[in-house]
Amino acid sequence: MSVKARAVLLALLMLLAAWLPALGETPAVDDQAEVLPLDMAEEITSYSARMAQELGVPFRLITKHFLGGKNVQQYADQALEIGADSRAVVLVMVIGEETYALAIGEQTRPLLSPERAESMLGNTFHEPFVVERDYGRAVAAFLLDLSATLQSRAGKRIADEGKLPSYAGRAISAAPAATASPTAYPTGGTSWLDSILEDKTQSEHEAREYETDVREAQEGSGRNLSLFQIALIGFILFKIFGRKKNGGKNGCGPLGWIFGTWGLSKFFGWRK
Amino acid sequence: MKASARAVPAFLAMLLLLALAFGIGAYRGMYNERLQVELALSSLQDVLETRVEMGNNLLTVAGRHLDGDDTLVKAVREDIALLSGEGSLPGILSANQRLARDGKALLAQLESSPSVRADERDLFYVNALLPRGFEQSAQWADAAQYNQAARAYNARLKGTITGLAASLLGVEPAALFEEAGSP
Repeated sequence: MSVKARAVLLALLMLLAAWLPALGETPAVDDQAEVLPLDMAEEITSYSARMAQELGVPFRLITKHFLGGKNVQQYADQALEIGADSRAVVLVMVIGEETYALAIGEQTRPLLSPERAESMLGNTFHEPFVVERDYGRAVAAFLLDLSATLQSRAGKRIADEGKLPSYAGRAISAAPAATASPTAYPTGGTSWLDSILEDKTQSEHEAREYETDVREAQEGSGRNLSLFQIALIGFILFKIFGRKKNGGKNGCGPLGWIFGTWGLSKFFGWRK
Repeated sequence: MKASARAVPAFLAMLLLLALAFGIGAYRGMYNERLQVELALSSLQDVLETRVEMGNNLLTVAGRHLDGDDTLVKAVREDIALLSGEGSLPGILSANQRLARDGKALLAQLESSPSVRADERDLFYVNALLPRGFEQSAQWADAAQYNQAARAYNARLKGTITGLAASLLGVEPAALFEEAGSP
């Protein structure tokens, strides 16, 4: 490759690298229970991006209807671990179980202790979540408080809070507060299985595996011989045992041996 | 004369070797098939975890509207304990069948409960989400499929010469469980 071609390739790669972040932000909301309005999920995603940029703490939210008996804190810790970002803060809301938990990344703990987070959840999140079932307002109020705490600890400021104050019912302007009605009750939606099982993908994988194992167990070891193989064995047996030493015939001809082998193969389990 | 005297033991040795080869082949083949049936059973036990999850979800909703001593609540709790424990195969699978029956009855009881009817969210769970989840998990954990595979294996073990030879050499039939409606 010539120097010119390499330079062009390098320039293209740099351009691509510069454009990649602009292609879209990674969604911060995994609303499996579908209890949040779509624009609110987008709002949280963009606010989480600002938090990551200004404070170094991205926020992630997961909503589910049920966890199938799993402990919510364990689930949140696991979600944080899977996200592989030790700066992140993950909030898990389990609507049908009326439980929630926050997992704080290792790097963020100096800014936000679990006790402080617990107290914030109790003050701003618990009532709208459990009593009023206004899930959107609960999340927005908590996120704003979380951000305020982190800003004061980090000595930095996020100027643009977007529509979050409105969702949290804290809008100062005369503009009507962002609608909360869609969050008042859950809907099934497309991710209904996701929302009621701890890990739908794993459950589906296990179900497929069971199906395959059962099929293979039913078919056996697949040692069934084809008709051609049976005919060949019959013919070889005829060649060995079907003639007298003096060249005379001994009972059946080759077809008789082949049919005989075919009949016997059933008893040996060589064919179905 | 000498040649024919040697031919007889050689022929017997050949027959013995043939029988040995046949026996080893039959044993190995059927033993592998038996392992495959056991693998299917182990996969079924993994899938039954989903049933346990669904049972727990149902108990969560029931806990908000019914007393902990309610007969059906207790029955579902027992079914779940059996399903998630390390009981015998027939015990586990009959617990699965009982969970289907008890779960359905508990959902019906919840649906008619005034407190559920007054709660839009829980009514949605009881009417839509939980029955769908139970149905899906029952489809996944269809134990009759395992029974079918185990029966096919048992038929090969008892109905073929290879199977009978393997059976004589110690390969055991697969365990079956009683299906609903069977005597």
